[in-house]
Amino acid sequence: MAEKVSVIEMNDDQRSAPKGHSRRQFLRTAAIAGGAGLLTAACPAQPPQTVTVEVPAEQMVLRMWTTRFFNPNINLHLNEEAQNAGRAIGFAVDVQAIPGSFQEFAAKLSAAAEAGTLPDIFSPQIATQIFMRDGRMLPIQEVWDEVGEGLGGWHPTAERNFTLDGVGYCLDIGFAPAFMHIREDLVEEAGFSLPFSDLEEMLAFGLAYTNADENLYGLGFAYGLPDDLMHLQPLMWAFGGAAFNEEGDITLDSPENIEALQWYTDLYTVHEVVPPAAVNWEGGGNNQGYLTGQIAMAMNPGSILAAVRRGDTPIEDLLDKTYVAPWPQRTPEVGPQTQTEAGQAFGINKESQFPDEAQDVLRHLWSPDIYIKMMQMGQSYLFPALMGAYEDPYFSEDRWNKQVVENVVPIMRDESWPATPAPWTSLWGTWAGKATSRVILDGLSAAEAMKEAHDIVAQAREDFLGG
Amino acid sequence: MTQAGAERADPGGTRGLTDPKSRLRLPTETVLGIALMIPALATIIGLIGYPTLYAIWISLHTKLLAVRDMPFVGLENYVTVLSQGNFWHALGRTIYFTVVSVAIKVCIGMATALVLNENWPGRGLARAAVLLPWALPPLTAVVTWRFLFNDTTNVLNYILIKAHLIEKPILWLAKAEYAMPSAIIVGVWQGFPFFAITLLAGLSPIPDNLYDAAKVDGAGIIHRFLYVSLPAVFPVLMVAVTLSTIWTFNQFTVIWLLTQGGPGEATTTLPIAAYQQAFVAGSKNLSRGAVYAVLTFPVLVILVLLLNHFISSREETEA
Repeated sequence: MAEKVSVIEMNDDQRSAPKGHSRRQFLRTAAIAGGAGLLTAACPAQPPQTVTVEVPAEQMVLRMWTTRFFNPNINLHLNEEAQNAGRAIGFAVDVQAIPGSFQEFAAKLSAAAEAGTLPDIFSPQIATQIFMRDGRMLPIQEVWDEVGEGLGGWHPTAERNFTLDGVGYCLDIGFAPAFMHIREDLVEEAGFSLPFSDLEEMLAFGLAYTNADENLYGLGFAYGLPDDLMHLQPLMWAFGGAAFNEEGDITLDSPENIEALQWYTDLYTVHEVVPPAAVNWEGGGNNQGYLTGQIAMAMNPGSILAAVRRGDTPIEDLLDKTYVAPWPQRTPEVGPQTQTEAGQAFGINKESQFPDEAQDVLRHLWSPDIYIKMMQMGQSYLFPALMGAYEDPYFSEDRWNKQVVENVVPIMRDESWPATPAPWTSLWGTWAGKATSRVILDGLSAAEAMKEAHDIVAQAREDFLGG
Repeated sequence: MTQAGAERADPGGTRGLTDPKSRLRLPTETVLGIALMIPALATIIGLIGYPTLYAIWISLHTKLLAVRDMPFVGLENYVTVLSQGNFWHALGRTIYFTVVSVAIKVCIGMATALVLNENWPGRGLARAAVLLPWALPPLTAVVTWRFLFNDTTNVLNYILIKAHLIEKPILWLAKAEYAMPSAIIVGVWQGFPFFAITLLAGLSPIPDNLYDAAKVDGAGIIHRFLYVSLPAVFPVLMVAVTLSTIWTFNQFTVIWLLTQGGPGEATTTLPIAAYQQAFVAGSKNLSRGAVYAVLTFPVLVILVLLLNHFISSREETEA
């Protein structure tokens, strides 16, 4: 049995007695480690996230904020042309391309609005409806009309989302409609042909192709928060449902919507034709799945197609093997529809000291040549909000863009459809991911999950309308 | 009486003690001290006091993201949040995440500190290397971990399968039962160097002759740790535990970047829930997000008070 050892008190000499390496040595080592850490921190894992222009002190400056586009070329083009526009009117334009989600950007805008530091030109994103209605945006009907006339008129979705009472407030850059990216070669190998005639044929392919042991899945749809609306909402439309009716009443717990959620979650829980990790994919999860060959199809805006064009994939000739199409229809009676983000549009701060100059910058950015080049820079991520741009060969002749223009653009709807866009319809968006995960992870029935989603959106509306 | 006459009548200046004007006059050093403190106080009030008060203020209103109006609703948001299960579930997850994380960090940090306190070749390099997880920017570290956990790259699963530790790939971030442990692994990996270095600083001054004396008394390695090392580092350990508890309880970056609170709500701790209420879910209700933040405050105060009480009672026992 070991003897108990008493605690031995130390005197000051003992405390300061040197032991092994000296404190100085230790501090030096720690400093080296700290330096290494700082060096690591100084090496960015991504390209610079903010484009800021150095401006001579005496020059007048217009400030412009945008979220960072998925394709950095768009930001570069936007920045370069904003500088050109500024030079023509004797201004510098300080363009900040801010990374992060739409929510984070809206939070930054919200803070700037309260602090009175909103930039001259900005993209209000998910706060568009609020900012237009509460007088923070400058009406720019004249510019809106000029730009529209210059390029064949605005797409109806742009008019729905960026005009209020017939007055234009923001110029829409373009749409990012969601569409299916499908591995045509794998579909043909499995004995199917494209486009799928309906949802059941798509499921049949999924069942035929999926091999979980090899981590290969026929379908690649998201079941978490990111990208949730773009998956479930078109499916609800295909089943004859919708989140709202034309009057703006919430109809989420309708039988059609419940049936759509059931069908969608069955893909995961019953048929097991999507990767199990899809329940917690971050925004790029399905992109990565498609680009690495884990999934044979993905529903997404064209950021996947853009990545394929850039060759960000180990799969040889993936572009040639990719077929793009909307969700298949449910039945011939209910044709396919797809959802688009309302778009990134730019407007002017009503408190701007330079409203005329800011409008000149917008005029320049939306002039036909520069606008079309911006669309081309998007590499299929962006599709024009101005109808005349669709006549450009990039959209009318490129095989994949042509598929999107012919099959997807005519049937795209924004997230508020068929209701008139309102603050609480454009900010409400996370119910879909929650509903799917409540069924898959928590075992709720589709009806219970949709009822819960219904209540969430009703609460959001109540918050806005004050009960 | 003139002033000179008064001084003559009271040469020791005792009357000044009862003079109301003199009693109000502060010594010069005190005035200077207060003046020097003002910038620091102003900074603290500006950076900590104002946001805290503003959070409490908006929690009593309905403040939606980007919306100008902010109607007063009193305690309605508190009633709403406290009557929903989400808050309590998030609190439970936060306590679980904090207790498990801090406990593991203490164990690994202590073990690392003991190893680094020994004399062996390459110790200096090892001490520097241990700091790296702590020195790395959280974004870089977590994105790297996410890559390791990812089900398409499967790096971690590949290593574990090759090492015959698992038979089938684990869905680290997609299964509720693995998501929280995954977040804890990353949090511990990032946080244990703080314990290691702090405890090492506590261990370094212990002279070798104490260990030698203990050896002479027949103490084995465990007893030397329990009766020599641990008492010496205990005060440092408690401070580190207190700080780490607060940091871990408020941990946002690791969980948000790794799982965004999912799958479902499996990793939705209080800071994540506050962020989601304010910026992601429903109407982007900043007020309800603020309620989560405000309610976190007393929980943390209670935790810190408990720890302080524990430290004080131990110090009294030792005394």
